[in-house]
Amino acid sequence: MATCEDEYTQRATAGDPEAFRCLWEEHHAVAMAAALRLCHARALAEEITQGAFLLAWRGLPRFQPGSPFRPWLMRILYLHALDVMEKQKVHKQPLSLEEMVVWEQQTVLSDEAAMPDMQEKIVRREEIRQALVKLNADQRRVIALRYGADLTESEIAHVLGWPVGTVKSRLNRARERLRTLLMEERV
Amino acid sequence: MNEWNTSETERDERGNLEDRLSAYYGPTLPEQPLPPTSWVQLRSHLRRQHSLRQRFFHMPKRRRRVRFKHLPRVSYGGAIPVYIQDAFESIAHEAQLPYTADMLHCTFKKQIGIPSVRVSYWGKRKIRLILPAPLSRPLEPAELNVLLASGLASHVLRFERKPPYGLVRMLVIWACLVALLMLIPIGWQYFDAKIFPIAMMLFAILLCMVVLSHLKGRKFAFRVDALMVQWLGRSQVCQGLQALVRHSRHPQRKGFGQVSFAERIERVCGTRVAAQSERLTLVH
Repeated sequence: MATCEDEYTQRATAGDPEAFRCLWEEHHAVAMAAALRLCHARALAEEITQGAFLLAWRGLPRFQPGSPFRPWLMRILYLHALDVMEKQKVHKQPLSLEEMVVWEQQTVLSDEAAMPDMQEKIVRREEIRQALVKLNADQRRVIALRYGADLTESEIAHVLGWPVGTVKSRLNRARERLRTLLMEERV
Repeated sequence: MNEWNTSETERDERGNLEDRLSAYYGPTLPEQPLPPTSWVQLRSHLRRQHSLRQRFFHMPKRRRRVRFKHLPRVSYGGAIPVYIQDAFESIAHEAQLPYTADMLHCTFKKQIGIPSVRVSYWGKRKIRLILPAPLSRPLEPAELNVLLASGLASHVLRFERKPPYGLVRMLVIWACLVALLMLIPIGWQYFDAKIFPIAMMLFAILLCMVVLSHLKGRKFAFRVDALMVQWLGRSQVCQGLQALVRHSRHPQRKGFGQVSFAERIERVCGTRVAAQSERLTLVH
């Protein structure tokens, strides 16, 4: 049975921007939330989201009719986000206090009793960020998708187009390296 | 006892790392709706792309065949932001040039204030767009168009309409410099009177070439602006230059063989840039 979304994707594939608008309205807020969680910067997240929709528009002729639109869009978004973040070297930029406050307001779990004070949070985040800088790009990708998008190993393999074994080994190596780096920093 | 303590610590570290990484990315965020203007922006890109395709299919067959190789390709791994690729292809289409985003190379640099564009003589002769990293503000459409169009115009003027005289000038300058440097030890050793006029002549050639390069560079920059006005229209070029000036710390400053923003605006738009008090500290 054809759903409304199927109809919209078919019309959008034929070049109807209004049908694509319906798809955008349905999915952009979720895509933006996912991008913001990955990159922690609103302007960049907006750029990533819009870029992902533009790529989706271009790639619609290759979209398999009948399959759900959101997983396909999210795959494009994750790939695009990882590319943009690597290119713009986002991980090399320390997070400012101002951004941190905005970020805390965004998150649901911002109650003060559960978390230490802001300065300590910044220090802990900075330690992780500095450790992430020392990983290679592929390791950063798997870490971002595992912890920043909550994907399973097989989902990461599907998004990145790697075998599941490769994802597992890269994830393990990345964790090992991070552990070593964080322990070294503590010593 | 110590071993037991070590394994316990390692187990703690493992759990700790997972927690810290989860805390670093934070919990799943609630939906983040974008303002309605975002759709308008996106829509303008969709329309442009669609009309590009339509125009392609309405082209005479001969031109269509030539352009077929250069049709926009979907690239998920492309590091150039998609809206920049689209803007570039749109300008190339308006200028009736068979260029695609493949020609464009995007570099992010930390210590630059404003975005710029370069075309080098060497390598693959790509147009290199240099953007500040991280991109703290979105580029205005007119600003982006001016940057891309100036890169495209420089490429066209430098490689397609004229033989690369600039390259010849550069080679002459380097040859003179090398010859002068080689003359110094020779003159030092032999004290030959003939060497002095040769050195003077080389120095004069070098000086002439440097001055000529500077003047030609400025003339070239004005020609680039003229071509840009032809493609984008004067008002859009003015808007773009004004946007660049707003974010420039030194609008009056010009490099070797370059034109300052103030001069460009004066020439293209016929208006002057207000003198900025760059280092003004108010003390109460």
